[in-house]
Amino acid sequence: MGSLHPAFWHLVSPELVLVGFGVLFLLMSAVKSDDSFKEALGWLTALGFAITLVLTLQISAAVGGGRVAALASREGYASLVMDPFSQLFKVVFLVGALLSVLMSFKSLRVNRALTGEYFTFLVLAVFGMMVMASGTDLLTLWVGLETMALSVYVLAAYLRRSAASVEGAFKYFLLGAVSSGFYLYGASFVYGATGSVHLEAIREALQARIAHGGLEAVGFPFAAGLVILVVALLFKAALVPFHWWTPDAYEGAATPVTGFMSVAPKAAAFAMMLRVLLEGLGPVAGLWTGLLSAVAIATMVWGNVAAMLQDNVKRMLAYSSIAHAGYALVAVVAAGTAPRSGGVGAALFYMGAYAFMNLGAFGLVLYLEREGCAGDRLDHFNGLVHRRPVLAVCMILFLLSLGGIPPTAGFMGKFLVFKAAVDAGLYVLAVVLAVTSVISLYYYYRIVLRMFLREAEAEEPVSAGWPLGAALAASVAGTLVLGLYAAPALEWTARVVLGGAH
Amino acid sequence: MMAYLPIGIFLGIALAIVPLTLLIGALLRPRRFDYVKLQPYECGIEMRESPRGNVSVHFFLVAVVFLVFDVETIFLFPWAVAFDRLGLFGVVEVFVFLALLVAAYLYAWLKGALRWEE
Amino acid sequence: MGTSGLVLLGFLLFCLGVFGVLSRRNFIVVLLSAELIFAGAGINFVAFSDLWRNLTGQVFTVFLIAVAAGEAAVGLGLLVALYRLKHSANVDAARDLKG
Repeated sequence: MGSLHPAFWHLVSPELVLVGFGVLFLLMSAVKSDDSFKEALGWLTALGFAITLVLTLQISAAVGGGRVAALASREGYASLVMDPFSQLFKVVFLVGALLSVLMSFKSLRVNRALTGEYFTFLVLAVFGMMVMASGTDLLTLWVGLETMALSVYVLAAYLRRSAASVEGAFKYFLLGAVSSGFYLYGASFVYGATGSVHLEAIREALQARIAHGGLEAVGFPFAAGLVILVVALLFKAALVPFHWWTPDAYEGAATPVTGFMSVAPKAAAFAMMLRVLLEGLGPVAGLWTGLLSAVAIATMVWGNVAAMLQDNVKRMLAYSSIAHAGYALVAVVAAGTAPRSGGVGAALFYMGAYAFMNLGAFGLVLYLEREGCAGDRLDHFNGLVHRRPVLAVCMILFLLSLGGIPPTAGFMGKFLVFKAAVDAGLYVLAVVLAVTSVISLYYYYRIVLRMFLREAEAEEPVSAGWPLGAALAASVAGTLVLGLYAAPALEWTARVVLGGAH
Repeated sequence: MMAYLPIGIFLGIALAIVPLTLLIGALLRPRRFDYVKLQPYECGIEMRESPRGNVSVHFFLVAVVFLVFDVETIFLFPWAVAFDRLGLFGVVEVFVFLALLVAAYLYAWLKGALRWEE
Repeated sequence: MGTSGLVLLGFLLFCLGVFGVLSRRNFIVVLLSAELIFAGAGINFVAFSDLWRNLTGQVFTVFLIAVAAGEAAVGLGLLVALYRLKHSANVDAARDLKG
């Protein structure tokens, strides 16, 4: 039997709270299903996330810059750790989830298909992500990944009467299931080559072997397993050429779900990728940085080019989210090439900044939504600046941030990634990052143009309710604070180290 | 870079297998269809109805619920084998697990997944 | 059968699964093929568990089987939802979106 940390129950209390709320919601929604109940459930969910956030911050303060293994194997290899890396990623997931819940209230009114169980799946998905951020063995990470993925498949299919929703979810599921199989098959070879699934043990085994005979001594089965494992992780983060489920799943899903999917599961996939690659497979970084560089370039180029061709704002934001994952991947490559380049911190900061600006942009799409009309065509933005000047200014801010213009969070994030890439000597990646960012301005600008120049349509959207307004305000605040006063956030992300530096 | 070579060969073979087998099949198989040949073969007995008749969706729900609960018991076997060594913690843990299963069962029950007649 | 034989069996199951996912049009068969990939990985884990004389691989396999069942349940649920909308269990029916 493995060993538990003496304060195990305290360390995992945020996760336990989420599971408790999830089960509670499930049982409650089995007996009640009227509108006021669903609204109450939404508030309870927000409360649950808020409690979890407070507990996470509390544990984060207790852990400080150190690393506490809540659960370890008999040999002392950790399975579940609380360190700045995991805690900060959890904060990103929880902030994304909280904003999505606030945005869900409007969807409850517009789409009657959303039932009480919707909130259960939201809570359980975040639980899975938190396990993904903390897990340090291939099994724990995978169970977290599946908990998240199975919940998100259902969330994506939630508009049961809409063929687009079910079809998008179905494609997402199909590719997700296959990529899960790839992950397992790759993990089995890593286990076969090293005799352990704990990342620390894998790292030690690899280091011993490399000290013995260089990179060549790693062996073919391990290298093949590693490539399959990396491919599976690329699927999960929706990187080119494993991205094609993304636009369909994003377009079909209810807008708050799309916003959630584009932010939280993506951040979780990056958390897991960073953990596995840097902590477990750091010694063989030479085997995967080349592959990931190629993927990053392809993702940045294709994501931005395809986004230019879209007329549907949700699809456009889907391709833009693919491109943003490409930017974050540059930081991952930088961290693998040069551990001191600050790549991990840059990726983490980028994911946090992306959560605010992207959820804000989806919040505006949701604002324009009416019954039977998703509000996601470019035309819906016509003349917005005359109709709702405040909202138009918000949208401009989010788009500037997505395009990477100062003084926004998006600029700060891109700057950090760029700096990490230059520090790691990855000049080609840095140049592609800069050039594709300029290209991206074109399609973000298209929306801005329509808000100013075109005539407004006569129809007014249904009233949004203040929760959506609060979510938008929080997104604006986050985008501005991370852009103008990033020092505290940078101080936190600078504390994050992965891969043997502890 | 030589470390990538076996992966390349491996990938090449893996990628080639699918189109190759499809191609060989398409080239080799004769394409002469007639009425008798296109009929489904079932031990010489003539077909009475479509084999793809509809099965009530009730079967689906029961099957899925059964599948999940049946497979979850897999976690009880290792515990049963080692429970004397796991001690109190093992008991607590397995009961937490069972409580979650009961919650899921309760949900299925309350939702009417187990009710056979409408 | 030694470790290499089992790993070969796992590899065959994996290839069969990948082949099925890529070539079959019926969604249920695609789902079965994905389960074959899982099974291939499971056999690998058990084989390596025997090789290394530790139980990690077998523990992994137990989790793998349980999660695969959950995955199949969600997949079948999605299939029923899709079938109700399109009246077909064919992968090609899911082509309204541009993909």
